[in-house]
Amino acid sequence: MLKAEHLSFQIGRQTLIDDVSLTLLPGKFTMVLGPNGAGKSTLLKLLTGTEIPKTGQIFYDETLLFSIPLAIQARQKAVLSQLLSLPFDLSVTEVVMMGRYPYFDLNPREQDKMIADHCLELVGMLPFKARAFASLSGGEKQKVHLARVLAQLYRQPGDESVKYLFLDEPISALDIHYQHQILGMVRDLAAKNMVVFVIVHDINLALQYADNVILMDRGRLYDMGIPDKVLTEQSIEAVFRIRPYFATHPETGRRVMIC
Amino acid sequence: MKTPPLSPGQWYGTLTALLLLSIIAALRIGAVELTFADINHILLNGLGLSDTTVDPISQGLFLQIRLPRVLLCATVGAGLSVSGVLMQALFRNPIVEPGLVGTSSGAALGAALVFVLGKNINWAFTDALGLFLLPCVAFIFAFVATLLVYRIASVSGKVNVATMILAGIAINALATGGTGFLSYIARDPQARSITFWNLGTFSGADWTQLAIVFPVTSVGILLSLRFTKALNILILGEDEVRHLGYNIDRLKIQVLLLNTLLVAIGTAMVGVISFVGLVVPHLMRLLKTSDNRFLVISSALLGGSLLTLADTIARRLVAPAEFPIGVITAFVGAPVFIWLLVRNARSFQKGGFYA
Repeated sequence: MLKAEHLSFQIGRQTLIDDVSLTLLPGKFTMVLGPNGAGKSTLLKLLTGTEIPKTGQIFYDETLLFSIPLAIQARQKAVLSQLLSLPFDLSVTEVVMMGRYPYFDLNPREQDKMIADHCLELVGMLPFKARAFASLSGGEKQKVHLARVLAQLYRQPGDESVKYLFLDEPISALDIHYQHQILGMVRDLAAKNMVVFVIVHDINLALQYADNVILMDRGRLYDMGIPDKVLTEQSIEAVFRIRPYFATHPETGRRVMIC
Repeated sequence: MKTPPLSPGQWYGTLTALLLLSIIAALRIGAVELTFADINHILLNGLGLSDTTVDPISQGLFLQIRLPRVLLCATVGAGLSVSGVLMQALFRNPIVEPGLVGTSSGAALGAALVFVLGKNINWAFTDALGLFLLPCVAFIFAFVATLLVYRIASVSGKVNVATMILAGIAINALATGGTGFLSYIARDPQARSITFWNLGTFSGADWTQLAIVFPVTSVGILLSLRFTKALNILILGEDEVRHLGYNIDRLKIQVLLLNTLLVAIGTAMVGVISFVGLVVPHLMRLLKTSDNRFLVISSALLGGSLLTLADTIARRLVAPAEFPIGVITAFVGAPVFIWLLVRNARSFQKGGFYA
């Protein structure tokens, strides 16, 4: 369980996060939505300990986040950030193997190599394993980074501990086939005792996949709860300043948003 | 270039062979040519395994001058190259070399200070330090210079690479100015040794220097291996280093200290040698990969070989006089570097910096 109490964060005079409190439960797929500059990525940085909040505290399973040694944190939580550019070229395998660094000393064990391959397989990138990372397209790079993060949290048999997965726009460069495949996979992961916090922009994907939605607006938590309760006409109009219409999916009966 | 790529192990094997060949070649060639038979006899005599009569002058030359010099050369080459790997990874920039952050010029200033004023200051500790005076002062100056650059760059809280590079230029200018001033006030023979030494020279190499440089460099290279995983992650970004379990601020300080150690010890003994720390890691990067685990080991081996070969050329070219080795490394290193740059800018195969 992840608990944050009264977080706020400023850069200079600018308040980026204003008094946000929330609790994330393992087993629930949480999606974060909100307009550009609403503080979604900043909130992710605070919750992962990347930035230090001006006020407020963060607990991972009742333990203060900043009191957990980084090496232990690296085996519990994985973070996929936006916009990673590499000044030096590496092979796809080398990038994915970084996800296993918290688990081996200098050279990867057989087990780590198998896990890396398996995670590449999950995102459909195994055939690219020997390719230079720089030669990949944007979407392919995103899938490789995703495989790296999956490798970092890969559970050994018998490991039932809570894991924490944070993804900042993991599917922004993917085609719709992989958007759905990846989100389906992440939902399955969440079900296995994982706290999952994913920033997305597509409201329909949130309606389809999320168990729990956080709607951010101007640094504040606008609303949080199950998707059908949070993503209503009123809230979307208030936050995104666009009037939505909802229709019903002809097969599944799910709510679908049309603009 | 469509041959099957060599594995890291095969690379290490090839490079070790290259290093051994360079050392053997360097032992034979010089102002006085020695045959393999001579070298063999001298080595066996030295170990007390035989007592063949050899020309005592050759024997003295080989044991007292050439052997320590060649070994020192290989060691310094390895140290500078590994330091280049560390700095390029830390700055996330392939054009960085150890001299950039003020380490080399700081060490040079410290050493020049000892050269010029050393005999005039008779504090208690100068005697006690004895042989270690030069490397110690060089290390202190190198570290102060590096730390200054680092501090200026991190005024805003986080280390800013652009500021760091500019601060490096300023501190380098300051240190070079200081060295220039010292050589100006120095009496003639000292001044000449500073000038010569600013371009690097192995002409003063002996067993004592090797005894100081070799252990320090070996330990430094082994320690560097400990940081290679974290430095690999740094390719992705500073936040990722933290996400994968390392303290980024501590990592930066540790790597800077290690870099100072590797560069200052070598520089104190043989002077400023440019381009090795830049070109060697770069070559390995282009030939195989940017994985720092591979780069540290392979650059140490290749750097040792290349500097040994460069020194052999420096000794042979105008024998019995000799060239400053820095001139050779610059003349050979710069064109190779430019060729590599152009080739890669054209091929667009590599990403990041080259694309």
